[in-house]
Amino acid sequence: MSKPKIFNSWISSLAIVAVLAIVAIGIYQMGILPGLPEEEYTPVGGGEDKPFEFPSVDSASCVACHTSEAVIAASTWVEEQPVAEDTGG
Amino acid sequence: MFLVSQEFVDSTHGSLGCITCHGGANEADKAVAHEGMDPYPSRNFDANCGACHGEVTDVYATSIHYNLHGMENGLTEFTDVSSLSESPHHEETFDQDCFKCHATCGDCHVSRAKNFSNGLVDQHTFLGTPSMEENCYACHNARNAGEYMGMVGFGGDAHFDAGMTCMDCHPVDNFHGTGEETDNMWEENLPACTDCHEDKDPEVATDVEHKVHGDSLSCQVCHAQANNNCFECHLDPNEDGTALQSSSESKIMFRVGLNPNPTEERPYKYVALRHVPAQEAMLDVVGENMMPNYDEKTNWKYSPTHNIQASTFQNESCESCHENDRIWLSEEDFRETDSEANFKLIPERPPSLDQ
Repeated sequence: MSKPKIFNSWISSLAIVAVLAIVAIGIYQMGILPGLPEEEYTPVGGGEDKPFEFPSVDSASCVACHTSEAVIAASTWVEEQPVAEDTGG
Repeated sequence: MFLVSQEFVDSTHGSLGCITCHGGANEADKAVAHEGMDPYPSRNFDANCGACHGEVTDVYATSIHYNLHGMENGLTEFTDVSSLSESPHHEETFDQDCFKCHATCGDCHVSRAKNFSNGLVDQHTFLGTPSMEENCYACHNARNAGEYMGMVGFGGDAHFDAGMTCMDCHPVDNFHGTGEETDNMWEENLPACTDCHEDKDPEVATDVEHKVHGDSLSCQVCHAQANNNCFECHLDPNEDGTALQSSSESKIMFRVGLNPNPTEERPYKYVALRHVPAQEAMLDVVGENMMPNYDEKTNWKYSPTHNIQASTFQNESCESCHENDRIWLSEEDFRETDSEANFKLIPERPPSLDQ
């Protein structure tokens, strides 16, 4: 069987493939996708990439101070709290 | 006050939010934020760690790193009670001094022990495998960890020189427990030298030294160096009177004696010994006659000394051990404060090389 003359030109072949691809995507988007059930996400507290569900409490204030070297440097914690205790090894 | 890294904040543990484990409040005012805050949440490990790590926290109460049964039973041996809980004085003493060393999850995986400068090891990063230098050494510095790393005594251990850490020999259940209660470390699943050095097992060894000596010697008799021995241990109140603290005199020595407690696993006749920090009057600060059975138990103990070398001064030649008066435990090593039971550890001299 001889192929249609339109395929004799490579640019015509490419155009036909592109048109077919666009039609297929259109059918999926408009005809198939709306009928699929919605994907359900499990809400997690600590971020979207965590391996399992766990509780989380907003601790932004703690993080703001405890990640700041300037705040740590200005702290009087060492004077208020014993740092080390000799238990004899 | 502790500095926490942004990497930790972004990690799985960090994503929980500080307050989830430590309590307190998400407030800008420092005093309000810290009200009710728990700096050591893993002391309540069932509630705080167990939600995710239940396989560990379910058995952790059986770990001797947590319950300190070894130290507790060691002290009980010298008393006339079968359990410290039978004696409020003993129990209080134990809680005020010995129990300071018990570890919870955070003491190994996040922070340093309180007796070792305290603080976070790496800006709150959770260490899956604890750091030998920052965590193990923190509590075991005066003896095994210090000797292993060459910080106490003479040279370090050949295995340390080869880059090995505590966890390369000790299985994780030595730290986490197995779910079975043990009375002391000897009942744990301890590593043995022959786990790796199979060809040195006396039953299969082909070299003369290991074949001839067989099970009569522990490995340390030939391969350990001098270890740290503590004498005249006593307890005193600390500066503010809120707890007791122990202190003792240390001496680097190498002594071989009879095995105080031969077992099927450790049937050796001769073992390397270590003088442990105990003397009859050590609890006098608490009450009189607190250790009535003191003379029934030795205070020189079998020592699995952790500063192993292939070549040592005592294995240099047959004579350097058999003819060496200075390494065998003798009456001259005993002090007035020592237990009478130590006399049974004085060995006969080993067979003469002429025989």
